[in-house]
Amino acid sequence: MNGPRSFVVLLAVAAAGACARTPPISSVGLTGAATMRSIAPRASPYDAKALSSVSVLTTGHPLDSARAEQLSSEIGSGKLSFDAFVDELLNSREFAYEVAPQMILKEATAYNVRIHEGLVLAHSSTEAGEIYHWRGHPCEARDAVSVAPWWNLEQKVLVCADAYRPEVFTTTNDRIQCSAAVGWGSQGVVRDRCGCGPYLIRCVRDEQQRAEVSASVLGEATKTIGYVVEHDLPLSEAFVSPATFRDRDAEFLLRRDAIERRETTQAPDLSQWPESGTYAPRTENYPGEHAGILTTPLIRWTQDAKRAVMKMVFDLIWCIPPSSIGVTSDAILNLGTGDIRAGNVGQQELAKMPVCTGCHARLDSATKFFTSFADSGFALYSGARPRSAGTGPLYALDISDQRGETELTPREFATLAVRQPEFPRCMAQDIGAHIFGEAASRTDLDSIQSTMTRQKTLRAAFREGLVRWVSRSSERHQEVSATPAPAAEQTGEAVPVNPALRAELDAHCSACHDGDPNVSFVKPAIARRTMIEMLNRVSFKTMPKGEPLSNADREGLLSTMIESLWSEPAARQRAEAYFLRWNRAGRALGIGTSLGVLGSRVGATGRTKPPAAIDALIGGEYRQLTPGYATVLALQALEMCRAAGLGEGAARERCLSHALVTDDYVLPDQ
Amino acid sequence: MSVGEALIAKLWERSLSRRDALALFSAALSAGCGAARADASARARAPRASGFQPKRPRYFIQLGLLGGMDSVYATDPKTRAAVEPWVDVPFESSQIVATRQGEFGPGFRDLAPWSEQLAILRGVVTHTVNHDHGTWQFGRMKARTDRQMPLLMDLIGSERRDSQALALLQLSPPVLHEDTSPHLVSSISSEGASDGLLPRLQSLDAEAGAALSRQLQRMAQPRGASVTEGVSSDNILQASSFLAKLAVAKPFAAERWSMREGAGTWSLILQQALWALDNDLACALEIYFPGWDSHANNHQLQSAKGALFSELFARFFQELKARRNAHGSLLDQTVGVVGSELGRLPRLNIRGGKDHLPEAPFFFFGGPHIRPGIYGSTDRRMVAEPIDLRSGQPSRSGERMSIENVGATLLAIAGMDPELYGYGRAPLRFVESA
Repeated sequence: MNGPRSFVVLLAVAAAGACARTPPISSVGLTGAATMRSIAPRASPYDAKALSSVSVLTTGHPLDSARAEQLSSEIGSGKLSFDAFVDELLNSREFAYEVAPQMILKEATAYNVRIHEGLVLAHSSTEAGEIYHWRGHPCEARDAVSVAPWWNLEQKVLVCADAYRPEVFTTTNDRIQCSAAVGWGSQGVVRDRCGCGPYLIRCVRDEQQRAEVSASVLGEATKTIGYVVEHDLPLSEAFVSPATFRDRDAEFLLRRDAIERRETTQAPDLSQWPESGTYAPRTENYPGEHAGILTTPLIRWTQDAKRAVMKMVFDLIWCIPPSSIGVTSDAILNLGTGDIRAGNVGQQELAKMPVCTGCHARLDSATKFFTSFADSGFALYSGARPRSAGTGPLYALDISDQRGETELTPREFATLAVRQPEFPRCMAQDIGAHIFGEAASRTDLDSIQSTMTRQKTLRAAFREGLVRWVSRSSERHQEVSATPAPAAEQTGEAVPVNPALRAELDAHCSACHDGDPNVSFVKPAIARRTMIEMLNRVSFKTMPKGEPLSNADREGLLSTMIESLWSEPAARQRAEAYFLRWNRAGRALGIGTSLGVLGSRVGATGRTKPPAAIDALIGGEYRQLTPGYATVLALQALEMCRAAGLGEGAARERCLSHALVTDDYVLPDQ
Repeated sequence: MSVGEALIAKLWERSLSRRDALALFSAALSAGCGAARADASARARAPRASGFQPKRPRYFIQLGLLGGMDSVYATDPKTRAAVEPWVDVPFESSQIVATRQGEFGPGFRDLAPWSEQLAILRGVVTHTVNHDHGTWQFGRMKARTDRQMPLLMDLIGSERRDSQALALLQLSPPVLHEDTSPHLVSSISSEGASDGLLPRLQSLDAEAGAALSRQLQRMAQPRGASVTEGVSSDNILQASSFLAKLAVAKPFAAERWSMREGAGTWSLILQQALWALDNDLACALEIYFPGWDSHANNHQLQSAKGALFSELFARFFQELKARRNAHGSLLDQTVGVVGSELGRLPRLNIRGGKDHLPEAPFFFFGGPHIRPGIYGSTDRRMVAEPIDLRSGQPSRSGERMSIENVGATLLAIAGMDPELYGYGRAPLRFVESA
């Protein structure tokens, strides 16, 4: 397909593709739900571009430009309410099953690494037929046995005996369960003499099946969130419920545990389980064993140690990142033990120690709720360890911040955790990061959190964020004029506090630091190193603690500090680019979303797999239009043009030109 | 005669091949990029710092051995008599390799012949025992980082020379999950896999690469005058220039560097790094090798990883020394740093492993830019001792080296003022050559 005609076809296909993905807005009623917040329609907030951005943020797909213009006109004239437009987007499957999981799971989706390459069987052709074996360990036909594999019990396959070993459940040298040890590659095979086990339940047939099972592991978590959002259930359900959404492979992974626990020798019969999956409770070994996505393999197998898994759990439900700063070697060595990570003595001491308590009180007490799930470096099945009896505490900030005590089960843990204010705050943070990037203000987040606390559902809280975003995008940015201040002369290692700086410090810092022996602002000068550290912390929003400044206040304080530190305009300009703007590029859509946009523009159907690059893994506020992002985008555009039959010559040029439009992949600055 | 002049001469003689034509296009694009980049940069960045030094090395490499190296196997070996009884020293003193510069542990013995090219830092404080936070810090070589902070190599790379396509190229195996940064291009690669960004680009035919490059150049037209718009525009131009250079780059072909288990991916990545330098593709490279987290079987893991790393790195060094590109010897143009985000406790745990210590070994490497030697020291507990930050020698009135000193040092070598990027600690001037 070449020449002008193909370009017309391309445009038609692109428009059709975009329209096909556009929710049928015209079917929406004129009024939104009475309880929902509404804002008065104005011409500017609802222009076509803003509405298309709202569509991208909510569904991952832009609006066809003609449709966007039409909607803008309808909303502007009052024929259609903005609420109704947003409702239609929020009711879409794309929001529930694509956008919402990405937003809530964040980087957890990038960690799906537990279908280890060592679990993938190799196979070789012999006169007796195909023989499966460990990589690098083929065998003669006489050393192979016939086995009904879990993936097709009706058709037996030949497997080398050393890759089978149905009677071996633990390693010979350690107390490691074979379910985990076989993933170590040659160590599991040669040293530990584990096999794939009965019905080859620990292994996968080939790379394709490895990808399918990995997708099922990921899908259990993403579709569980999707189901909860689609049915407008309280979002906490996704973290608390015994039910998840499982396809046949995910259900197999759950049921194979009974064989690993040696409760049965029968292969799971999954013939009645819907192949594409269903939302259903999991069988539990004891009441409260499962807690939404928190006990899915995606989360449990992410790391090989429980503390690390709990770190991820708290990142998901409370958005608490690790904060291990200021630790000294003396403090660690004074514990007098080498067992800091696993030993009880080390854990108990860490939970109380200054600095350490900020993480360890929370993490180490939480691991006790999950004892029936062994470290994934030890076993990959539930019930590998006995559950803890009795009750245990839940801590938040440190050991002095206990939030309650409850029965030591995952579900009781999750139930107590989602009742804390950290849960709606975290969900608001996730929504804010998705919609606003790093520009979410405290007021934005408070407003979203308040809606989440009140209405419980993701849709309601997301709608609140969208309304605020549209409202803000109509406002012109206030340029912060540099406060005229005299260039400060450096006095050795100290920076004089001039009146302008004094005023800023008094306004934003002194309330907490008055009387602080470490950082005093009373003196006429501040140590240069301290000032640099202050710049870092205000710039990257770790100060003022718990009370983020408005953007204008932050820029004012930073500019004044920069002027106090450097007198050369060039140096000031450079420092401003770093401390005020973080040298950032424009905020980019997620790669997954951008593929949807590309597909709409090119008219390609089906998904292509983006190259493995960081840009495809990170989420929310961290995405930028990096050179890597631009390169990935260009490659994907080329693939899609090829898929649409426009991969050569002039047709390719036109296709790429149509596909690669910066505005489509960068969200407006806030 | 420059590359461009040679191509024009060929054109005059009508002996221009398709590859030559693409090279000409690439050269033209680079020139265009330079001009456009200057425009974009004027908006995005302030003029160069007054302290910019023309002798700045052309290439910078940051190499992270993530998980946590055990210093006693690597660059800070001790005899049993030199440490407290509870400190684990799992080798005999005869296994320590002595050189004129100092000693290497048995894990790093293959690096001993290169000791005169290394500036080794013993006892660098990392302030954290958490991998996530440590990795964020390592990428910035700074204490108390935030994930939004640009990576250190990003800052350095953003001052790249005009003909260098990219500011920062990051190479890592697939298990790594790191942060992005304003000017980053990352490629996740492993032996035999083709889905990393670099392998995908390397399989692109030259015409398609040139077509993409042209479209990106068109796409890079700035949409506004803000700093952010300028950086975005500059970044798209970087991508365009990268694709144009790839279209005429020497094809990449990996060799087998080692027979050791696990060597495939590591040697592939080091060879990709050399290929990037050969073709002047990027100013800064960030390379990550995870897998050093030895909470169990410390001796087995650290010995194996150390032997593998030092064998491959010695080969990498040898290649750097042997190879030249249009700008001269690669080794002469390069400065690098190797280290971990945290270190290992000197005491064994019940699984024969070692948990985390907030100190780690580091070393700089490079041609004429580095003053070789061993700086800093650790005590009988393997804990860092204070040093005089001017000389690098132990001093009771001095202070312990921090990872932030290491970051400030690299910025200073790059001719940049560390304070302008929030690095409050002093550069370690003693590792810089006079």
